[in-house]
Amino acid sequence: MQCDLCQNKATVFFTQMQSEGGIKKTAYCESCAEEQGVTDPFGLPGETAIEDSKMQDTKSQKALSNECPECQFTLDDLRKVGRLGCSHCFQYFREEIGQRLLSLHKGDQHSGRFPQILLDIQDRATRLAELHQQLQEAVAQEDYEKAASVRDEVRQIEEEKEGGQA
Amino acid sequence: MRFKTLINHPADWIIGAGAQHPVVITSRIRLARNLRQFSFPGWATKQERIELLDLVQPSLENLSVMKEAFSQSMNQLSALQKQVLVERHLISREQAARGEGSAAVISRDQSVSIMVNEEDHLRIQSIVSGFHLHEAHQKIADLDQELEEILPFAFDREWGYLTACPTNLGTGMRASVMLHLPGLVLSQQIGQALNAASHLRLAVRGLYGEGTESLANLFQISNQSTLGESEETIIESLERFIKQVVDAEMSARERLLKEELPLVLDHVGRAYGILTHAHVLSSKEALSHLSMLRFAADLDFLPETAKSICDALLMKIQPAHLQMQTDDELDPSQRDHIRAEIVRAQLQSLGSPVKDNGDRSSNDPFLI
Repeated sequence: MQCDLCQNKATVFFTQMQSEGGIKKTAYCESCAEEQGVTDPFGLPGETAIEDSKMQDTKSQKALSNECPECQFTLDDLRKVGRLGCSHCFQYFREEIGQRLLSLHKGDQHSGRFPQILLDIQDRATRLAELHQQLQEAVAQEDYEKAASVRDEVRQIEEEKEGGQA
Repeated sequence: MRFKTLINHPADWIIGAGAQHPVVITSRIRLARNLRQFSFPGWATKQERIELLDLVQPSLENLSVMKEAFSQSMNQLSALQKQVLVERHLISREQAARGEGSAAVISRDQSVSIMVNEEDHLRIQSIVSGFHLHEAHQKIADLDQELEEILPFAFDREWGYLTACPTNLGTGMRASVMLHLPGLVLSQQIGQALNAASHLRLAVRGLYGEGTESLANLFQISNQSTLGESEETIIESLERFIKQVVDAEMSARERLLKEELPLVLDHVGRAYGILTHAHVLSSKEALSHLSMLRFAADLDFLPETAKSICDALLMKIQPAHLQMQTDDELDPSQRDHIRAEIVRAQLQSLGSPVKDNGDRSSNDPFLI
């Protein structure tokens, strides 16, 4: 018999009685069993390990709809385990997650720390928008000298941006 | 750093070195961080988890605070070693159940620890003794900034740091304090004192976090809401509540001394009697009596050194630590026997608790 998680021969077998009345059989090879924490002499694997294997099971079943294209996590998975598959899931299941936030937190808008790199990008974007505005005004007023100097500054910021991304 | 070194050099906060707070044992902050391009650990394949670990582990080891750190994958540690790390609050019980692809990176002084591939890619924690949440936060805020320059963290302008569970969104920050509240427990005011916590969206837990019972009159209080407020606001409102609990504990102690001195002396005296004379001590029994001795030291019934002896013992007598010290696998009854021996040996130098101990002048030295 093959391990449920990899191609190796299964040597550790589990039979779990489920609350709905069914039986769930699990087979692991030695290294997967160890990874799932089932060799732990302190007892059966913690909640997380069980959740994980549940998640792995659902992962193998091809979901039909409402699937995160980045990691194939589905809306059903979210409803079942209350957690997400990857950071991109937050875009694909935005509405579903958004509805729960106020019951979990004091607000639904982040007001803590921003990563410095994002602040830099934001500063640049704000400055670029200002400059484009100035450029349009300068052209409209036929102030070409001003337009040229604004254009130079725009170029400089765009170069910085590319440099920063490289 | 090797495991043995880690064991032989307990952190300052474990042995209770330095000035101690009478109520707040430790202050702890943890941050949850994830990398944009990887699935969260609970959904990632084992291969993906290993790949992420290989990518981040060198960066973590290179952090200035992680010089000569303890850095091990979970499958390189025995079940007993993992349990020791759990008892020291350096990894979670959940992390201890994990294997290949998950790791712990722990600073030499054990004040900063990072779990890789727990529920999130990174769980960064700092722990200090006493009531110093801001200090604990500052320690890892710097580290967080250092890391974000090299690792692309998942972040959303509206929802902040993205985490596997929506309960950690926003700051990804959990601030918590461990409180010793024997006064409120003895005077049966504990429920009332902690009741307000849930309205403030604060969680109250036992010694080992979620789902654990309160032992040794120790309580952990932490913020549940992580989104909608800044890190500073979260810490400040937790601080405000903790100050109230500390005040309530201190006045409960005062009232007990004034109105129910025989009751207090009885609890303390019995605890001392059992700990210094027992030959078989379960972990639970030892913890509750040690709590009473620490209480006695706070009330000046015992010399100041009793506090650090108690704090160090609280750690030493736990099952995995006990087995680690004896270098042997012990069955529970052997453990209870050795635990009693260790406690007796450590308390030998300590005289009986005396009301108005030491330099305080008193007309009525009350020997118990």
